[in-house]
Amino acid sequence: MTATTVETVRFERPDRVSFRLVRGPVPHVLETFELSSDSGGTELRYGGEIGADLWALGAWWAGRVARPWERTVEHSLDAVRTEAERRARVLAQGDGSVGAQAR
Amino acid sequence: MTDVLTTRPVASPRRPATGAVLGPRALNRALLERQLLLRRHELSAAEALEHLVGLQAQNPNAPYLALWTRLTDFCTDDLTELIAARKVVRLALMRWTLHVVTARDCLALRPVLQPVMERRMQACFGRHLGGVELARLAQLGRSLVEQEPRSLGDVGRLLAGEWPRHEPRVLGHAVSALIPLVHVPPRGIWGRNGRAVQTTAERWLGRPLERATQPDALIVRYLAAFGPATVADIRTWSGLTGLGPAIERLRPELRSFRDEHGRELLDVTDGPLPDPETPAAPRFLPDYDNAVLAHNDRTRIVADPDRRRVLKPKTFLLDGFVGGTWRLIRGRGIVTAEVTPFGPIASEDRIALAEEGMRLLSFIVAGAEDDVRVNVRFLDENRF
Repeated sequence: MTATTVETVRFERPDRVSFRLVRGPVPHVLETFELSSDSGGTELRYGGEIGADLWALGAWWAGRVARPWERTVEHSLDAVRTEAERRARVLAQGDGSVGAQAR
Repeated sequence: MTDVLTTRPVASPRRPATGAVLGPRALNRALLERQLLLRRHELSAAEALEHLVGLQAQNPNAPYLALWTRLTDFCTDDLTELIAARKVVRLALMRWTLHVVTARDCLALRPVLQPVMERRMQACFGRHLGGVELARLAQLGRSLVEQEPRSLGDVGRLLAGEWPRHEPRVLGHAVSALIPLVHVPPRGIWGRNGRAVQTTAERWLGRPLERATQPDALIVRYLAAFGPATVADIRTWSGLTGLGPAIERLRPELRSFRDEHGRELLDVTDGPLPDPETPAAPRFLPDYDNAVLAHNDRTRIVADPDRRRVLKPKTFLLDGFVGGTWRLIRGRGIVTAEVTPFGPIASEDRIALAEEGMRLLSFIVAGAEDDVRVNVRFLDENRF
């Protein structure tokens, strides 16, 4: 069986990436990733919206989907944070430039 | 900009203007029609390959995608069976780049294009081949690949015994230019990418190359598939130089037009020239498709400001012109066509492109045993 989806990913410089599902099994999916500076570090703020049809049945389904979705996102963002912090440590050990890393 | 066929003569310092002026849109629609991209055609894969004078095949899957995007009801077996039956082969031809062509074209075109291979090989490796007698290199190389199909790396290593001071890699590549080597399946077959081992076209096909080396027939076929075109376009596509005598021989059989800069465009007399306003549906093109690469002046298919942006090999057409690039991403249970437009796309074009993308992906995953999601992703504004 083949399912089809269409999505758009938009980078709104300098600090926001948004993802929107425009065709697929779920009527409305929107995710945003926003970066901001936070006392010497960087804060990544995630927002996710899911919308379903079928009134109460749809709301019940969305509630069921939302929980594992949040867990998946949390897991991914943990991995992103771990990798970002690793890179920051590596940079801090050099002279701070990407060129220094390349050497 | 002149986009309609007119009879307005344009002065040329070298040759009196004789033909009508064709603007970029008129040339675009002529190219699309001749490249089978204005509408899908009911041709066999072999017929299409011969009409197009082969298809670029740097990426082994590219000819499959190129045929799917041009033909009605094309399926991968159509080309695979031709390759397996030795009716279609993959070898270096125009510009010393890999193409798939019919066996008949392989035998006819390679002798005509042989000077291209040797000139480009000399440009790339000539200074590393000092002291190597090329005729002997060709002879020994031929002997090795006719004993059994071999990779160029293996050929180079075996030849290094004869020329120990030369790089095996260079020796192998030089052999590939000096003699007509075809890739032996499963290399080049959809979904079965084997090791790139090669043998000679004569051994694989059981027939000798043709003797004719004049480019006349090749030029006429180029014009039928890519014209109207300038001599510089013919040179860019083929890699051949010194075309003047052939052009003069052919001139009585050809018609000529002018582009909006006054350059002469040669053409076959029966080449279609569709109305420049003919609608053109979105099309996904595979890596290095000749529709995009086959002209010195590519403004008929990619706007000049965008030419430098066609860095990624896969492009898509919107209203007949390159509108951006795309790439295929395969994941577990999902195949994505990631589309990067050069600029904003009207919503109706976006919908048409997404639908064409989904059809393309359905072709790519056809026959998959597991459930799979096909996904078209737009990276908007080209800001990534």
